[in-house]
Amino acid sequence: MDEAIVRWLNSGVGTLPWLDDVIKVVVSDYFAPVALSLIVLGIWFGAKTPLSRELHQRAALTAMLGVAFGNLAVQIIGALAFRDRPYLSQPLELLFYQPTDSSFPANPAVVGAAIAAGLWGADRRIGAASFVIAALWGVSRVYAGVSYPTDVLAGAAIGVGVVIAVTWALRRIEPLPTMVIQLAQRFYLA
Amino acid sequence: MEDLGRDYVILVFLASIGVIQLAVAHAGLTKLLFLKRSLYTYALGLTLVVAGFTWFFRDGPRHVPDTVGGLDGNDQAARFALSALAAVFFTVLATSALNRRAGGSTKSELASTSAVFGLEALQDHTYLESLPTGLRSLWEERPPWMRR
Repeated sequence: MDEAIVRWLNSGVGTLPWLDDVIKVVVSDYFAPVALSLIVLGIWFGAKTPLSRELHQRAALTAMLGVAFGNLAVQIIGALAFRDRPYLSQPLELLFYQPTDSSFPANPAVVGAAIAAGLWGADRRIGAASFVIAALWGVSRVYAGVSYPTDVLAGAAIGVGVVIAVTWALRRIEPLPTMVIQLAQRFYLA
Repeated sequence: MEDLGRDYVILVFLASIGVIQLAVAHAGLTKLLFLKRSLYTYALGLTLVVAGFTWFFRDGPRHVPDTVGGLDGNDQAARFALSALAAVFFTVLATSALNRRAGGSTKSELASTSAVFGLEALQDHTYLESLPTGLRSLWEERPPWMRR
């Protein structure tokens, strides 16, 4: 099933050259992560009231910690359950370089889902927009032939799960997060 | 692949300045704006974001494995953090110079910042006008072990 979906999606490569060009940018290591990180930066500064500003900044902290711990989880799971990339077992038209690390779980899906889930807690619209970017990034990895759908789904689940854990942990270590924000406020940066 | 790292820093720096302008215009933090009119600020912010990405992807999608000179996750995170921080400091310093009042703020105006800490204060006062108040409060409220 997993392989069939990769083959089906990847069979579209070459049909619409302009779409392939767009996917090549979306799937790159630099487009989606920078776009999502810029949204985090924007949410830090963009709230209109002190109350919503603090909520947004807590969400930004949660998203950043979610990415950090999500990456740690990817390293551990990738080492314990290494999975070959789909292009190694079937003929695919690659739109990306050949990564050598484990296909499972998809690191981009973890990063995208962690940022989107972190921001969802503060602003549903921005969270939804971030989920769209994260989803496009994940689907483009499958289309480009470098990830299986289950790699992406598992990565997204890990990203969301890590953010839930980080949210819980930040509540447990109060007042530390509040002190961090208050210190930044004294420097007029929060 | 030094070019890739350099271009990444330029992308993040430009786009961060643009995003900060969009965000502070939305939040009404007028003393952090480069331009007085919101419409122009939104146009400037969007232009900087688009310019940053256009600059970076001008020669294609830049698919470079991190084993042969691409930026790995840690490298990207470090460069993003430093470039975004540089964009924040560029914004607060430049807008402090652009938006400072002729003759500076009066003592009573500056005293009014004492009630407000954080970005909220930058609706009425520039960053450099506000910063001494925040630093003074930190010094006055320092913990006992620092008071010796």
